[in-house]
Amino acid sequence: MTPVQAVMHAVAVLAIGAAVTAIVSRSRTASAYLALLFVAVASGLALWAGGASLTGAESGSAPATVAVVSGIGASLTLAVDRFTAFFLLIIGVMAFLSTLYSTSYMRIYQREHAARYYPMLLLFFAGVIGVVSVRDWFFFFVFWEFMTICSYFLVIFDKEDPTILRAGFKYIVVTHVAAIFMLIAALVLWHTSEPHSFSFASSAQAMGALGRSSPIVLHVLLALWLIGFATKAGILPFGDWLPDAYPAAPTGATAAFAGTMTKLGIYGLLRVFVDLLPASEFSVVWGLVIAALGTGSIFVGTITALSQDDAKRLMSFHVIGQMGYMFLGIGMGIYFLPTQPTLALVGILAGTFHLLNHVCYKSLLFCTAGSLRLRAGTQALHEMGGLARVLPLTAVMAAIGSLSIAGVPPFNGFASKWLIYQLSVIGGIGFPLLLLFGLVAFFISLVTLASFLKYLGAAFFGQPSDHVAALQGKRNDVPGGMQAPQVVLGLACVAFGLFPMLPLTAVYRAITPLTTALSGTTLAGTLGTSVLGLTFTPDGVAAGVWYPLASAIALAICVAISYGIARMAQAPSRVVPVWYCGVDLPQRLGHFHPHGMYEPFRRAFERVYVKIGTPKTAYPTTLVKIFDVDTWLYGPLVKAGGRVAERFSRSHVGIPQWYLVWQVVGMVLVLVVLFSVMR
Amino acid sequence: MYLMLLLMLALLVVPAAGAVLAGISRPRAAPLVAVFASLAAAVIGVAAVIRAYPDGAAFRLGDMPWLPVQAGAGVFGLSLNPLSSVMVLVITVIGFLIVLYSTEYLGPRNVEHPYRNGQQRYYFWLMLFFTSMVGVALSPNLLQLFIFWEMTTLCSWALISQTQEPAATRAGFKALIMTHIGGFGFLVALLLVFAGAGSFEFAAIGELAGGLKVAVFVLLLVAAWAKSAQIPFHTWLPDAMEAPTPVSAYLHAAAMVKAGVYLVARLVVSGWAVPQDMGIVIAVMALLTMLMAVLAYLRQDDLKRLLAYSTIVHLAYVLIGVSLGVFGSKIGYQGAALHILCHGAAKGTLFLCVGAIAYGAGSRHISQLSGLARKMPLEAVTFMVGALAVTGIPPLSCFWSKLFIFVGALESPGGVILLVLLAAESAISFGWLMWVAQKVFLGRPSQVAAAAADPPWPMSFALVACMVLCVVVPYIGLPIVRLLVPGGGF
Repeated sequence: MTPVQAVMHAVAVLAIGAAVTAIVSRSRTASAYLALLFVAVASGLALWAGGASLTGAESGSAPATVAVVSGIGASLTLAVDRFTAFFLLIIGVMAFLSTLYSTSYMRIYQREHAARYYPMLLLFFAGVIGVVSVRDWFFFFVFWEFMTICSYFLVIFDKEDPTILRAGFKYIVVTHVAAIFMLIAALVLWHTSEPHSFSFASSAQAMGALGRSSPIVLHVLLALWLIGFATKAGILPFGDWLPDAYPAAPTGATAAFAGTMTKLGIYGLLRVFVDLLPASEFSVVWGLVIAALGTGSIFVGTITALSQDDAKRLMSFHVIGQMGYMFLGIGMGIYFLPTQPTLALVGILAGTFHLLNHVCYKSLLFCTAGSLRLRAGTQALHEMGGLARVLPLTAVMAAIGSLSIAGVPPFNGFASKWLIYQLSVIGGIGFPLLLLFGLVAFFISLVTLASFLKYLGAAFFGQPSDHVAALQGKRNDVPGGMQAPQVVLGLACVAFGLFPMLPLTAVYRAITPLTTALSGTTLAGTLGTSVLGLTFTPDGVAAGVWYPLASAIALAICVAISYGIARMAQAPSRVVPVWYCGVDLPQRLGHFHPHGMYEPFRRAFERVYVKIGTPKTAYPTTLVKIFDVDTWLYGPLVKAGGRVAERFSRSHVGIPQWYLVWQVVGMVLVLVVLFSVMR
Repeated sequence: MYLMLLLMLALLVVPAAGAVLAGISRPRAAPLVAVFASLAAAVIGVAAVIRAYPDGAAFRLGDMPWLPVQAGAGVFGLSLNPLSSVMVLVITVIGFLIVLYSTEYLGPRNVEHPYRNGQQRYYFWLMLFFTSMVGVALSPNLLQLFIFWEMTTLCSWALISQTQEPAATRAGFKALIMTHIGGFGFLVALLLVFAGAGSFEFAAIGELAGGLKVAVFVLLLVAAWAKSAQIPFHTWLPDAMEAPTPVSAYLHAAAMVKAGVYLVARLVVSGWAVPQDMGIVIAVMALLTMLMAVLAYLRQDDLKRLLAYSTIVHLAYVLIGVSLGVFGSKIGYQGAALHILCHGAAKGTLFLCVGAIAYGAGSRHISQLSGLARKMPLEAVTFMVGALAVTGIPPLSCFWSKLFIFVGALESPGGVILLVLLAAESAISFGWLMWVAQKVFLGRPSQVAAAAADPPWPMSFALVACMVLCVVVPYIGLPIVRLLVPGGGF
């Protein structure tokens, strides 16, 4: 079995699985476990295909053409190169974990029919696998839209809540318009290529030719693509749908979106701007645009996240911020692509590595929010508190996820962010704007930490709210099906943080075949050879080192010392009721609500997130009136005709004398005509 | 050869016999007769299309002794070419589903409007329409096409007025007058062609002198616009929604309104001799029509009127594809032909779905409907599929035809602007239909929706079959429209 065949089988298994789960959907349990079974098989196939291609000696297996739409030059060509393989690995893992999570989580939806969840989820995964495997814009679009539609149905799963419906509507319309942009770009490229073809290879050539003949057209095309991908990735201002749609979906699906679909924005970005677009001045311009968009999202998304109260909505804004980090890293990489391959490599490496890390911690965090929902029955942070006692393992995992996303060493978020900072500093020497980008990213890292301390503090620590107190503080962690994904993702966060070189090697193998511009670079020459850490060596000079294990040990020693001092000093600690300045307040009123946290921040940056409402345009009533032909044309015409007939009928009065007159008049007329003709 | 002739004759005779039999049979038997006649016609139609693939078939059946036509050209005959094959598929297959659907819809259990009598009349006209539509598709020349053309107009009048309520008779009369005025243009054009070229063949128009040719084209265009409810003759179609829903689905979405665009397409494909100025006229009017209809979308509360405007837009799509053919883009033209088929399936689905809602819930007003999915899950799925198909979401039907029209637009001069306009229309329609789908089917059930129920099996069967058609028609249509352009396109 070749990797391409494995991918085809995976898609087929998912399609069959969708049909089977739909058939048995009357039984929720059967539907859930069958879905898990099918996803497990498909995941296995995807993982095998990804693993075999990524570790294989060649840069990828040969493309296989499955079907051809003759005449328009579209062909369903599948290929698994190393870049696709990397995404297949992520998809394989995340598909399985999120389905596993769903099997337990979906029990909170008692009224909705399971037929609307599992089949859609499976089809969604099929679409995602299709998107990363095709080598033809036409079918890329087909899979892309398919994936979007499936995800839409997942978003509106809870179909009676008007907020969810609004979110779903916004999502589907915005992403559909973005997809149309991409389709137009693909069609124009199709038209430019000779012979007309949608294949990636010929669009690469067409882009090269366009760059020479009509650069403006190419700029427009790249803009269309960028908007398309940025919309899916949630980059502001195009990703405004994301903070509405993500919280709306069931958490299993949200984790799947965060782990797979959002990342396909990055996939497309790298495909177009690194793989297909030849390294040229276009890369410089658009690299900068991408980096700037990313920085904007980092700032606005994360700052807005600070003041959120809904746990999943808070995390959704962080998706925007974190996607910004990826855009920043990759944008800087693309910027350096034609000039400094080493820096370009670091940028793209950092962005893609951050993607991998983000998959781990963001899906983990969404899962923890879902676990809170299952046990506390709410996603609102102000109704939680002290849940660490109820959900101890989830609390630990949430802490790991929070520290990772905030970029606290030695967790994985730090490793990739460290690379981005390094690059912005080194790149900033030549072009100071990058330094500014880096500073923003650095500052926002702290904001992220603040935001997640709020999440941890409000949900897990502190006094239990009334709502939670009803749970009586008994240890009652979520079922194993929900634990397992959390634990796996949490461990991945720690492992990738302690040994960043391992995932970076995979990322390096994935991205280098994309462009010849990187062929002169090596991973060892850029980031060193040690498995324990990274040595950033641009131009052969070591500019920075990061050895996470060493830092972790140092940190552990510090913790041990401070703990030892505290023990030796035998400082007494006493437990007293909270003092409310002498007033006897019930705990409910004395509780410090998460609303109140970061109030100054909220006020200072209130206007940073501009809500994009539906544009209000005056309904063109004049135009409508013009088009209403009945009123101003046909109606009057008919009436006029009626009047004429009425008048004419007056001649018909029934007196013989009048008819005699008409006959005489008529005869005279006939004679006149006859004479004039005969003359 | 004789078998082919037999099939094509049967395609006309069987539904005609069904019409007569349904008309004279007892009220309870009329639906049964019509169902069997239309089923037989559908089977014959599909068989004829398959047998005619890929060479087509043409027979000369008779002349009029006193009508001196050019040598080699007949007066009456039958022909089945790729374009008419597309039409025959739409007419017969969807026609059968419509008749089946009608058997329940026109019954006493219809909540919106219980039908207690008039069965024979209904099935007589419906099957007569079936026949005349087949006649339109199989006509080898303008004269015969005109005869069947006017028959469809007549049937449309009778069917719209079925309930004989004042609004319905008025709408039927309006439709009759407006399409008939267009038909008058057709008649004049027909006479001009005969006077100028001594023949009724489609290709004879190409032999006319410059000015006369343009006059004939304009007159035929007027006829087509009136039939297909294009600007400035668009006002009859939304009013015609007073007709029973199966009639709206069949006449005013799938079949009759397609006759107009079919005529234009037929003219273009007969020799590709349409002057480019005419192409511009067709395209500009189609774009205007689109603008009008898109504006009208947003104000409709009646689901059927909304769909009527959507139909107008899609007929404009076909005309744009045809005009692209005039400019030399074969693929755009093929897209237009494919769109006849794809839109027929998708819009038929939507109409039947709305009919089922009216049948089960008693209302078609968007403002009164909400949360229907709980009581009418089948309709919810069908409507979604229909909406996604009609707005062109891959891999459903209209995606393919629209894509070909888009591609054709790019091949033509100034096509990028056209492409952007079409894409904008696509996006707006998509948004609007999704909003309507959400409003009607999702959310908390409204009072009307709480009492709704899924319809009985003949209607459900038609819905499911239409949904399947939404998926499969492009793959059936592609090999057929490929034949439209020998050696060109794909």
